[in-house]
Amino acid sequence: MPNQKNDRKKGNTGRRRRPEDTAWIDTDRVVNKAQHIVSSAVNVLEEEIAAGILAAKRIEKKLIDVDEIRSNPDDLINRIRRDSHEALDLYIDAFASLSGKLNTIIESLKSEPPEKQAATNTHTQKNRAEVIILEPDAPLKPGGSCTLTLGLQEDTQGASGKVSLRKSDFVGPDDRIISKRAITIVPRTLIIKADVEKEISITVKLPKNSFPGIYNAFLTDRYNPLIRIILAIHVTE
Amino acid sequence: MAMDELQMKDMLAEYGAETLRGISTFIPQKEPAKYLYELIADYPNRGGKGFRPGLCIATCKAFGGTLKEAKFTAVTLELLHNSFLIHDDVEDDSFYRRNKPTMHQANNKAIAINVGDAMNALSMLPLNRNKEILGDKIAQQLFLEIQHMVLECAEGQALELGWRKDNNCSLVEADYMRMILKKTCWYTCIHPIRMGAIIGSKGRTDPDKFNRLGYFMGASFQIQDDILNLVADQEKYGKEIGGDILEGKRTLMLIHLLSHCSPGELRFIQNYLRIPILDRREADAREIFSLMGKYGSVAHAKETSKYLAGAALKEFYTHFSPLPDSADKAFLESIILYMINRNY
Repeated sequence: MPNQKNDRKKGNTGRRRRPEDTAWIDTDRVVNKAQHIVSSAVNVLEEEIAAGILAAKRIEKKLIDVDEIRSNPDDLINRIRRDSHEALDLYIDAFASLSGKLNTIIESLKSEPPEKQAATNTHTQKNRAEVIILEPDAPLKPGGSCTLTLGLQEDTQGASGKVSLRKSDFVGPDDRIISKRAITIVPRTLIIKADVEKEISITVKLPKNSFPGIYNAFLTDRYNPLIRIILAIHVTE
Repeated sequence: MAMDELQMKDMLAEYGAETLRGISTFIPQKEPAKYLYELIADYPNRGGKGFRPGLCIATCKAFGGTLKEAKFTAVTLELLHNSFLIHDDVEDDSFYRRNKPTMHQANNKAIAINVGDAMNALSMLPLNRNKEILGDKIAQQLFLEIQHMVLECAEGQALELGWRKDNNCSLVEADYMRMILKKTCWYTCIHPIRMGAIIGSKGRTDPDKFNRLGYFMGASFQIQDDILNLVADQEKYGKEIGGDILEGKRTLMLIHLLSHCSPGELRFIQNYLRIPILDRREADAREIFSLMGKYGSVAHAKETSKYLAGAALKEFYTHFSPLPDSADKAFLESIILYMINRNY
């Protein structure tokens, strides 16, 4: 097939295209045409997705037999188990949201005058004493990293315990998130004994696109929920 | 920063080669070798671009995953793609695929259909292996992605084949956009990107946000492929030039022409499309191509494909800018920029 020629007549106006002269380009027409093409495409996509969801729901409706589910306790339990996993996911999301709120409270406490803080402390001292706050000496730049060390030992003489820290995302200004993948905990799991202090190394490596501000993440122990650690960092420009 | 075209093609070739090695491990070394298992390796070994595995692996890595985590899914995608090609060539009665006779021309239709079926079945094996490295939950999510992908592709193919069967000449551009969404975009771009993001983010990313990116990319890619079918160099393109007109494929150019030509020309095209493929004259196909030039149908398709690639770039920046810079992120950006800057 031969290549088509470009110097044809324009369909709508009848004007001839002049290659040396760019004044013929109608930017409004180009923008409008682009918008029209893209929005038509989006409409098609949205319609198709909606049709797919509807079709899936119809199939689901056909497949669910309420009487059978009720008459089969084993299956019902399996469904509850599955739903429990979903509930656990929701719980983790809520937990991340709570750590965000905790961040806001800490920020407001920091900004209060010392006298007022002292008064507040008398009410909350018992709870706050159980929270460990870890923060580097200096602010970090986007892409920067720091390593913090946490020493742990078993309180009860003669006993030993297993510690496995879990982490949440960092929550910062305007609910900005730095993924928990930025936090590396080594070792993830360890056994602690009385009179023997063991160290956990916590490294934070910030993404290069981190937004400036103060961020907090929450670390907690899988086996002992009373261990609560707030990892606080200050990201500067 | 985006990488240059050569680097992008090198990376695509690297991921393609990795996927090809994966495919060969899943082909059973047993009989019937001559009529089945040796033929399964034929299309993948003809040097396809590996576009789908490339998108999946690069997206996975851009989201923090590894090649190893995406490899089984990439192998599934490529096996399914090649099985679609074999069946597609039979359905279209095409003569060439990647510069060689199509599977059914080199063997026969029955054997080709059977090879395609076997490749479909084989593609389930790597998909199942995802459980071992990604866990049950993500493996099941990927299984549903593939199921949706295959079904959408079959629906798109059904639309196109049905239009040809009924000699439908009253299509509008939205019909075409719907058909390529189903036939091409889900399996060429949307699902590879979605699955790469699911794997790389360990299931923490909402894959729906990549639908537009994949759709715009896939549509731009398909339109450009249809244009190449008319204007490319046959050796580089690997298929017969103008084959789509001979097959009566409802491309964007043909739909544009049907809605812009004179009543007399419309009758000529309708009559041409009505007769069986093998009875169509090449001179008539040339006349239709010439009409596409006269009414600006090819230029319109080029323009549309560039606008869609531009929209894809915007979507890409929206969803990938928050991710750390990486070679894979640059690779994905370069693919879109390549589509925007492509010359024919």
